[in-house]
Amino acid sequence: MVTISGQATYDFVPTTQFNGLNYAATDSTRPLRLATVQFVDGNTVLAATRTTQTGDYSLAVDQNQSGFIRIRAESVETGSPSWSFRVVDNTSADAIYTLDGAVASSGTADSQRNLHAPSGWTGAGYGDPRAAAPFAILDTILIGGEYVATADPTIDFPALDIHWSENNMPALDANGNVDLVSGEIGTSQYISSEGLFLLGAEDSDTEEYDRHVVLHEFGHYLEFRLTRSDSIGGPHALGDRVDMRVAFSEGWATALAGLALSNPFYADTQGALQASGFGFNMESRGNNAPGWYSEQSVQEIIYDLVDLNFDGNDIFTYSFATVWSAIIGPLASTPALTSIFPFLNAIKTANSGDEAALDQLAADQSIDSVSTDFGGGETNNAGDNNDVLPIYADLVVNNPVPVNLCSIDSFSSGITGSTNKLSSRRFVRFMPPVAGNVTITMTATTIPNPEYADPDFIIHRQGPFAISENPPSDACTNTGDAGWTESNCVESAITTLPAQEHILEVYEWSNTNAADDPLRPPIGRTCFDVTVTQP
Amino acid sequence: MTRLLILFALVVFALTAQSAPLSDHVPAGTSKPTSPIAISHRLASPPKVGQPVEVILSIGSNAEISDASLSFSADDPLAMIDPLDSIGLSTLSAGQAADVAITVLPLLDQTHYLNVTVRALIDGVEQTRSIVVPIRLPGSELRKTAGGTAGNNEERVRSFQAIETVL
Repeated sequence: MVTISGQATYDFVPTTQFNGLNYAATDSTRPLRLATVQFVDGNTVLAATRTTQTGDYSLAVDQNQSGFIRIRAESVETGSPSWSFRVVDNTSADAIYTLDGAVASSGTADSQRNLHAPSGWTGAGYGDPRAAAPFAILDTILIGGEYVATADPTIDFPALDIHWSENNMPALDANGNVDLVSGEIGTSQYISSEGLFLLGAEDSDTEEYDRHVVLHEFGHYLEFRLTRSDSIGGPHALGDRVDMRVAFSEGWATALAGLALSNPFYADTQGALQASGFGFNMESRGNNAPGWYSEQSVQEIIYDLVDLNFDGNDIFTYSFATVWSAIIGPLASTPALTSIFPFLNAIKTANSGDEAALDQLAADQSIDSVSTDFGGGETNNAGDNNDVLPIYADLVVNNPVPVNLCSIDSFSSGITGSTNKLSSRRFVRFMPPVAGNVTITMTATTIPNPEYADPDFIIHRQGPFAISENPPSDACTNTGDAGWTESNCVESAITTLPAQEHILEVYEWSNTNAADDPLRPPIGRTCFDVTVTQP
Repeated sequence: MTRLLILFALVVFALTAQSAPLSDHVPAGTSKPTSPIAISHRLASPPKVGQPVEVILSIGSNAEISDASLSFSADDPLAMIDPLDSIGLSTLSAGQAADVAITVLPLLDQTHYLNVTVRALIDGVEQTRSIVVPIRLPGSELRKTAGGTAGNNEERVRSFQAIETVL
């Protein structure tokens, strides 16, 4: 046997805050760490190991054996913590990326083969293959995983595929949908059943060196796979007033990126030559719409709890474990929806003595003192006196007096549309007195003239589990019929529930559509009577 | 009476309807934050090979934007006609949108991709938004991919050649 050893490295191109990638500052010495290394003859793997934290590897192979060194864009850790992360090409049947050396004989003495993955940048464009890209992404994912492991050294990360391709572009297919095979993915995102998808379109939007973007999506993977998120996803921008579940999910993901990188400057490079970008500072305090419905408020609170910089009412230097404990524990088990309320309630409960300071940190973001998972007593109504508060309406089963709530589209954004904005979906708490069948009914009471309503609901019990989304009846849609009334528009279903706390998410279906939906755009303020009955 | 029958039927339907498992309901993906610049697009007419087509872009923001510029680039089979690569925009107040028409010439019967980037000052900071406008001709096919090669027991791999130093 002889030993083939060496070091694997890749080109890392740093971002600037607003001026894109700085190719002149490319670091060509970044170790390609913790990646699978193989000695391959044809299609046969003859030996395998893993690079160290410094990118070094060592393999024992037979003398005079022909073969090449292959580094896979994959990191597998079977110890404690454990993980399996891969970078694959969604536009090429999820082929895993590899970095291959040349075929050569192992000879009769120990030898060294160093492999380097270049960025492919040739001065005015990517004139060569972008070999470093998948390995830069893998390295960033490892940074995120290692950071979370500081809070939970025995964590077992579920397997994760990260999909990247030069073909992944910010465009949708002819029907306005994501096409993962062609690369028309719309934007970088986490898709629950598939994994992460990252843009790679040169001169438009590339993510391989945008570490905050990669770790933002990694944050979504963590919440969906290791704890619980009730987020409905969808497009979002700072300044939007969004569904509180979206606000928490997005704020958490951005804060995680900043904390794992010890860098509050989020940078998303874009444009021709990757020479410009979009960015913000998590510490800027420049929030024009703070509140429990603001992802910017959530990200600033979470970042401030851990970062070492004292600013404003941020006097906290909690360990990341403090935040992770709240995320992985109380947030996963709360009967409320996932939002800033159960998170802050958990932080306050675990840090008695800091309540006043934590209240002040929340107050900086126009969030009232949190004492329950449900945000009871919250007074920030986002400027809408009618249809934002209370955050949860209380419903008593079999009460003949219904709860009346309205679904609105008032917080639609010119940039990110209306699909996930504040109060398009409203929330009702109820608890069946006994286990058994319940009948849930929504009956329209106010509909914008001359529209009809399509009331729908989702039932949650520590996460969503059932939906009632029937199309409206003819009696509802035929608004010109004599005697037509709003109460013709009804959604009702019978289901079996345990005697536990439940959340009913109620909405006018059109108000959850895009503002430019060709078939059924939002109709605006639509109100319903909601009842829950048991025999 | 007809109305009463319809209402009765509706009530019967409602009471017998069952909620469905949520597995039928696929939530949208959770995406990265969007730049504070909005760009929407449409084609003025169906694109045809060898015939110029106008792409109408609408630019705006929830905040005032100034010193804005719009730049374009495209793959080879799509020729830029007017403007050739960039154009300046005036200051836009919050919520105001500006429409810009650019003309391109598709040279092949396939899907073409037009890169569009807007750079602008928002709250004193330069921000950027990039999108890709697909221009689909009647004979469009999805772009050909690099393709993975089978190896390692049929696992698909996409290999890059390393810069290798042998000592």
